[in-house]
Amino acid sequence: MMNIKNLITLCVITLLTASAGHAQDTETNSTPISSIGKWRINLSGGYGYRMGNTDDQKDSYIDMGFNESDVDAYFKDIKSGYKLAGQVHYMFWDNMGLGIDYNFFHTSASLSGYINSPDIYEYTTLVKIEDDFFTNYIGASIYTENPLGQSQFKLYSQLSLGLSLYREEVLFSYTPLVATGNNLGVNFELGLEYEIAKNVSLGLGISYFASTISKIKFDDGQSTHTMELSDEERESLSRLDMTMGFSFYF
Amino acid sequence: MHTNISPSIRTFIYALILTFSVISFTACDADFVDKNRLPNVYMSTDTVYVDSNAEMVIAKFDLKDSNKAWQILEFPKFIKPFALSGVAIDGSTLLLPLTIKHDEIDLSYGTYDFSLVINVADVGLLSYTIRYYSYGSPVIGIEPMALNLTNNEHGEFTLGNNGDGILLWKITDTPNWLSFQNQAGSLEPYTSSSIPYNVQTDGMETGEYTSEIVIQNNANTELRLPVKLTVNAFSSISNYQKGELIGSVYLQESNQVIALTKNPNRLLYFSDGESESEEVSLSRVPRCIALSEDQSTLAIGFSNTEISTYNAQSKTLTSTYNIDALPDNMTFGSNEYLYFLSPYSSNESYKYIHSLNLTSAIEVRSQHYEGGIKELIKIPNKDIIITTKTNWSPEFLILYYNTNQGIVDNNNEYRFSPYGLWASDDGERILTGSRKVYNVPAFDPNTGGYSIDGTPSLVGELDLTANNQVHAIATLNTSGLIYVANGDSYQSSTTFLHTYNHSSLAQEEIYEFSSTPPNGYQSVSNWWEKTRSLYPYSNGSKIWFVQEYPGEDYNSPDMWGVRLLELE
Repeated sequence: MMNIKNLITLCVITLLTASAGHAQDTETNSTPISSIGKWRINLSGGYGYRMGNTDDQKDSYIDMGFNESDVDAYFKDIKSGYKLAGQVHYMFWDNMGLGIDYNFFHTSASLSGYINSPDIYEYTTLVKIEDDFFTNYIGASIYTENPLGQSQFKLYSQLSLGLSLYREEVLFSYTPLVATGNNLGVNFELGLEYEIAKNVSLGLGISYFASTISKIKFDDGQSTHTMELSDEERESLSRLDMTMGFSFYF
Repeated sequence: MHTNISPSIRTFIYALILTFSVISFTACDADFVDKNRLPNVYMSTDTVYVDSNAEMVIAKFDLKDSNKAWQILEFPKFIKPFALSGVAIDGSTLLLPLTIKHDEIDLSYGTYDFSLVINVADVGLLSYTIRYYSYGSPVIGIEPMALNLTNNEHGEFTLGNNGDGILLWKITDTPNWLSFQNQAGSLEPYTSSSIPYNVQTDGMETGEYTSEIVIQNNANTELRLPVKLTVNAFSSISNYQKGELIGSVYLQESNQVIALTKNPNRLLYFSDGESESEEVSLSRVPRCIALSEDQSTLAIGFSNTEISTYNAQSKTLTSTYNIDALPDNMTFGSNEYLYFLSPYSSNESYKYIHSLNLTSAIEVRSQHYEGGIKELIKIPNKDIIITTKTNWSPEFLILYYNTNQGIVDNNNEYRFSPYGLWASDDGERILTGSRKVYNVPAFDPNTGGYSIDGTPSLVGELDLTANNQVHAIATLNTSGLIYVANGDSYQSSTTFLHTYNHSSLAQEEIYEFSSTPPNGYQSVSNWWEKTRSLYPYSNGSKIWFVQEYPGEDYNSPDMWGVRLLELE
């Protein structure tokens, strides 16, 4: 998996490349789309796929006695979810702006089955796991765009660095547990926009969000405790997203 | 530079922002922990009982509310509920079959509690106790491995538990001639128990029967004990008569046994083919009985110092004699003389011997008393009465002669211990409990008495092992046989009948049989039987046994009965 440092390096290179391309274009195109207004607001939604490795966790569930196909379905569900995102940028330059990037991701899954406990007398117990996974992210963003000739299309890219917030609500056989944590995150997005009106563009983008939680706070309603996670235990929030949304310029 | 945005687009932006916000805020639930607290848990006092023999139990659960969905959350692994969830429709009681998976549980014997938890919607969690009785790993053992039985025998075999567990056993199949007081039971680890049985062969044909006793148990599927029954031609005419047996005599011509009892005081006539005996009530307390040699007269001594005579056939009273003594034992001599014993007043173990002339009513008492004598035995066809000093050392053989004259003081004593005396029916032999057979001493015309020279001349010895205790002997000149009833000291509840050739003393047949304790008898393991008298038919086809058995307790007199064995 790509680490955050490599991701930032790649994103900066991409941004600079896009910006350079735009500089060349400005010599031939005197009226970029963003020239309509200095403010760009983007609202989008889409599908996100978590990139973290779940093989070990999967094996442990199977070892507990859950049905393998149920476990597969559970992890398939918990790895993908919906994403909502919003960005506000001010175009300080013709093809580049600065702003705020926010996104929200949610996925959920449930797993249940009668499993045999390893107690001395061995009970068969109905174990239900209901899992809701949330990620909030907000970061400082740099945005670039590059019109494609005289057409109404343009390429854009966006890189942000900020705070990712993690929350997971787990109901484990009538035992609720909330896990929360935060860490630095990086979001990089590439996309294509089409101007559907004077102030409005429809965009399609792909983004990669990278963050890892190394310290988690647990709350079961009776008590809370915080745990530092080892390298192997760290909760990966990283995901690959596909989004579609509207950008407004004014 | 600002650019105006159209109102419709602005509205669209606001709508998107609002939707975005709503979704984002509602996705995270701040009250998640509080809203998902553990529901109420009810610990039911009801218990489902399961034992390690059960294949299935029907458990009854009170769901506290009907029309609610239920789901089993937790149960022991060795249980397989018929359903794991459902809806209680009619009433709040859930009857749920639980299959027991014995291969999923391996517990040593004892009681174990498990829980079964049911979630009932809107009610909470109901926790029930599953109480499991483990019988562990019993190992069944049986001794002997097969039974060889005879007529109306009673006995016991031993069931053992040689394993670490509770053994449950149950007799599920047995031949109809075999019965048990206990059909089922349990055994703690490494213990054993005697299982008494009774054989009831009344009405069965003679011959051999084979069958088996099937004992189901939880150590293995079932145990089969082979049983072989040999039915002799033996019939129980009358078992366990009321009253205390005083004595018995035999009417050979009519093949009837006459028994005398007290409490109630009566004479009982037993006949072959009659299920009930004929009874003659007596108004006085009897003490002894004798039958004349010609079998016409029955004499009975009473506790009021009277002796009465009866017509043995018609059972009518003929005479009553007042005597100045308590008659203890009596026998007919010759020539209308009746001899009887009476206790010496200060010591009951010493006896006088009396003669009573039944015609003149003259009574003569011996000048001296003798210690230990208890029974007078008339030698048939001879003017001799013999007796012995029972349990003395030596017992002596005492021979009274000239009993045709009412003489009571003429006697010879032979110094040896016969351990019981019987006279042969031809009057030629004296048979003893020591298995030795003697000739009756010869009359010595020179002395006017009977010769005495150590012991009477020996005829021989009956072949009987030392374990056998002679209970009764009878002879039958017409059949040429000697009949010996004996018991085995190791099998006190079994009677053996040995027959010997009268001349060669060679053994001819052995019969073996046992009696059955009456229903409800408390101490079966202490049961015994002893033959008091033997009376063979004159044609040798059958033989009567008058037997005694233990009383119900130490305060009760011995029970007694009369039996008839058909001889081969």
